[in-house]
Amino acid sequence: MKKGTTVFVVSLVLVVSFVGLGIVVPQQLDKLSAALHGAIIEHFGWAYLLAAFGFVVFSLFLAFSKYGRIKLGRDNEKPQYSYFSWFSMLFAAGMGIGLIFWGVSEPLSHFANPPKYIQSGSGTAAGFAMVRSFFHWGIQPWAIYIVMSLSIAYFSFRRGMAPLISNTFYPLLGDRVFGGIGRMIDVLAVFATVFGIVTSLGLGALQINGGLNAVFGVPTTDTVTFIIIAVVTVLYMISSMTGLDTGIQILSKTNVLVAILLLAFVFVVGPTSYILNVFTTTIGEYVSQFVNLSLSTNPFEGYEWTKSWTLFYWAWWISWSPFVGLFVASISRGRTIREFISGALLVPTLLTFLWFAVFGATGLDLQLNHGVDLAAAAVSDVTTVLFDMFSYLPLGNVLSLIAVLLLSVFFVTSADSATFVLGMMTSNGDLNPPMSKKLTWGILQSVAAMILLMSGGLEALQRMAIVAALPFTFVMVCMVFSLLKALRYEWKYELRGRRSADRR
Amino acid sequence: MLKRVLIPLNLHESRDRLKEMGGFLKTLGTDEAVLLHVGADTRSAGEHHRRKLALAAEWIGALGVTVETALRPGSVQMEIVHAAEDRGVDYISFAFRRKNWLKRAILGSTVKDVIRQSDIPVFVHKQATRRAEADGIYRVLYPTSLQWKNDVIIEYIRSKEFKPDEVVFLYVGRRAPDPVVEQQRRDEVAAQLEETLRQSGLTESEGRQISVLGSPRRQIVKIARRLPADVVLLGKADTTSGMGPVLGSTAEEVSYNAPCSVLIIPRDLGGKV
Repeated sequence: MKKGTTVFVVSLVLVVSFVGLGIVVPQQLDKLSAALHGAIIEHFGWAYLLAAFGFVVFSLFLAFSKYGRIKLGRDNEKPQYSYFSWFSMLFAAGMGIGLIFWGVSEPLSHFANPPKYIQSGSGTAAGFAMVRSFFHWGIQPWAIYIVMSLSIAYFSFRRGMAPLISNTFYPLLGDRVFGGIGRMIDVLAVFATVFGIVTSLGLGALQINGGLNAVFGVPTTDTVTFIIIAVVTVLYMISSMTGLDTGIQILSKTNVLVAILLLAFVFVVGPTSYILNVFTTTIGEYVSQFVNLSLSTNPFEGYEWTKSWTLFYWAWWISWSPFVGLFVASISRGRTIREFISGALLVPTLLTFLWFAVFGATGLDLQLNHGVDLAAAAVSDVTTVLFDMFSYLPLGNVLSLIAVLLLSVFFVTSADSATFVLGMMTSNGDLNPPMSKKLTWGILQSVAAMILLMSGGLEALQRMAIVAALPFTFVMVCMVFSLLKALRYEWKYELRGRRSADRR
Repeated sequence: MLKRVLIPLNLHESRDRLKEMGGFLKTLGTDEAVLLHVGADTRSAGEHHRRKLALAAEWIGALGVTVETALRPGSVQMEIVHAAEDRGVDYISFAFRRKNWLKRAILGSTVKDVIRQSDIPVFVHKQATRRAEADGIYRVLYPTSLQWKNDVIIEYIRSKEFKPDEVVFLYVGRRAPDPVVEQQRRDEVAAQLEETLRQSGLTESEGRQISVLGSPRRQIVKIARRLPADVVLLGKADTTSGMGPVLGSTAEEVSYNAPCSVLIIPRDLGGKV
C-alpha cells in the first residue's frame, strides 16, 4: 500500500474509533483521557517547559547563525507571498480564534483565580494575570511552531522532499522515513491535528453562539450550535475548494485587517492611557522574568495552577504544531531562515501582546476601577465574557457583531487550513491534495465536533490531543537534531564548495 | 621510515609484554630504540630506575635492536615529546595498558596527551596484534577522511616493511539531507575510495573499501573489531570540531578504544618523511 494511502486509512480508522468511543461511552473516554492527561502533566510537565525553552533558544541560534542565510527554497527563489499576506496567514492559523476567545477571559480568569500565594482580586493578581497571559501566548508557542514549520519547509522546498513531518527525519533515519517509522510519525500528526481542530471547532461554535445571543438574543442551544457548525462547514469547504492562493489568503487578510480595526477602536474608546501603562509594564515584566517564567514549574507553591494553565498550554501548542507547522511551511517558500524566524517570532507575538494589553487591560479597568464584576463572568462562562465587556463600551452591539464575524472567519480559516493540511498529510505531502480527501476530513471534523458537543465528549477529545503531545515533544526534539545535522551538512559540503567556486 | 623508535616505559611492563612489542616493532623495520623513563632522578630512586631500564634494554636488545636508555625528571607527556625531538626518533611507541574509567578520569591518559602534543607518529601497541600468526591475515584498517592528501599514509602502506596482506579503506561520512544528494554522496565516496585504492598501488585482492555512516570515533572502533583489524592507520589533524576540546580528537579516542594497535600519523608530517 502506498505511504499516503496507509496514513490515510490508519488515521481515519483511529480517528473514527476515538470519536465513536466519545459517542458510545463518553464517560469512560472522559475517565481514560483524564487519567492519561493527568499523569502526563503531573510527571512530564517539566519536559514541556524545558523543550519549549529549548525551542526558543534553538530558533534564536538559527536566526543569528550562519545558517540564517540559507533560503527555504532554491537560492534564487523569491517569497511566494507578500509580507502582509504571510503575516496574516501565520496569525490566522496560529492564534486567531484562540485570541478572540481568551483575549479578555484569560487575564480575568487569572485575576480571579491566581495561584494560592497571590491574593485573588488584588493588584498583584492583575499584574500576574497580564504577565502570564503574555507568557502563554508569547514567544514559546511561536518557537514551537517555528521548529516544526522550518523543518518541513527546509526539507521540502530546499531539499525537494514531500512536505511531510516524517521526511524531516531523513538525516537521522535515512530511508526508514519511507517505511513504518515514517508512517507512524505521520499518523500521530494526523491524530493530534484532527483532535485539536475538532475541539477548537466545538469551542469556537459555542462562543459564536454566545455572541449571537448577546447581540441578537439567539438562544444558546445545541440546535443553534449545530446550525453554526453546519454553516461554517459549508463556508470552509467552499474556501478549501478554491485553494491556498485565493480562499485562505483573502479570508486571512480580511480578518487580520478587521481584527486590527477592532483592536484600534477598543484602544481609542477604551481606557487608552491605562492600556498603554499595562502594556509597557507587562512587557517590562515579561522581558525581565522571561527565563524564570520559562523554566519555573513552581514545585513548592502553585504547582496545581501551573499544571492547569502553563503546562496545559504548552502541551496544547505542541499538539497543535503539526497542523500549524505544515500550514506555515506551505506559505513560507522562498524566505531565508533568518527572515522566517524573525518574522514568525516577532510580528505575531507583538500583535498578540497588543491584543492582550488592549482587551485584558480594558477588562481589568472595568473590574478594578468601575465596579463591573467581569471576573466572575469569566470564571462562570469563558465564551461570553468578551461580549459582556463590549456591552460597557460605545457601540457595544456593533463590536459584538464584528467579534462574531471575526470568530466565524477565523473559524473558517482554521478549519480550511486544517482540511488542507490533513489532505496533504494523508496524500503523501501533495501540495494540491485530492478533493475527496479534503472533503472526507472536512466533513469528519465537523460531524465529530457536533456529535461530541452533544455527547459531552469534547473535553475528553481535547485531552487526547494533549496526550498525543508527549510523544510529539520527543519527535520535535529529534527534529531539532535532524535539522541541525542537515544544515551542518549543507554548509560544510555544499555551500562552502559553492562559495569558494564563486570566489574563483 | 620507522627505523628509530622512542619507547616510554613506566617500568611496570613485564618482560613478555616488552618482547612482544619489540618483536612487532622489528617487523616494521625498527632497529634502533630509545627507552625512556620519566621519573625522579634522586640518588636512590634514580639507581632503581636505571637498573630497571637496563633490564628492559637487555630484553629488547635480545631481539637484535640497538638500544639506548634515558631517564628524565619532569612532566611525563612533555618529556616524552621533548625526548623524541632531541633524540631524533621516527616515532614513539607505547605498550598500551588500559586504565579503568576512574583512574582515567582522575589521572588522565599519557598516551592521549602525547598523541595530542606530538608532531611525529605515535604507535599504540596492543597485545591483540597478531602479525606473526601464520593462519591469520595481517589486515590494516585505514580510515580516510577523503579531505586531505593520502600521500603520507599511502607511503606507509606501500613501504616494504609495513607490507599488510590486506588494507581496508574506510570512509565514515554523514548522511546527506535528502535521498537524491545522499545517492550522489555515496557515488562520490565510492569513486574517491576507488581512486585512493588505485593510488596505493594495491591489487584488488589486497585492498577493499567500506563506506559507513555515523560518528568516526565510534565507527572506526566498531569496524576494527568486526573485521578484525591488526593495525589501524590513522591520520591526525590538529584542527578539532567545536566539541573537540571536550571530547578529544578522533585519533585520541580511537587509539584508546580500538581493539588493535593504532599508528597515528600527524597531518603535517609531509615534509619530514
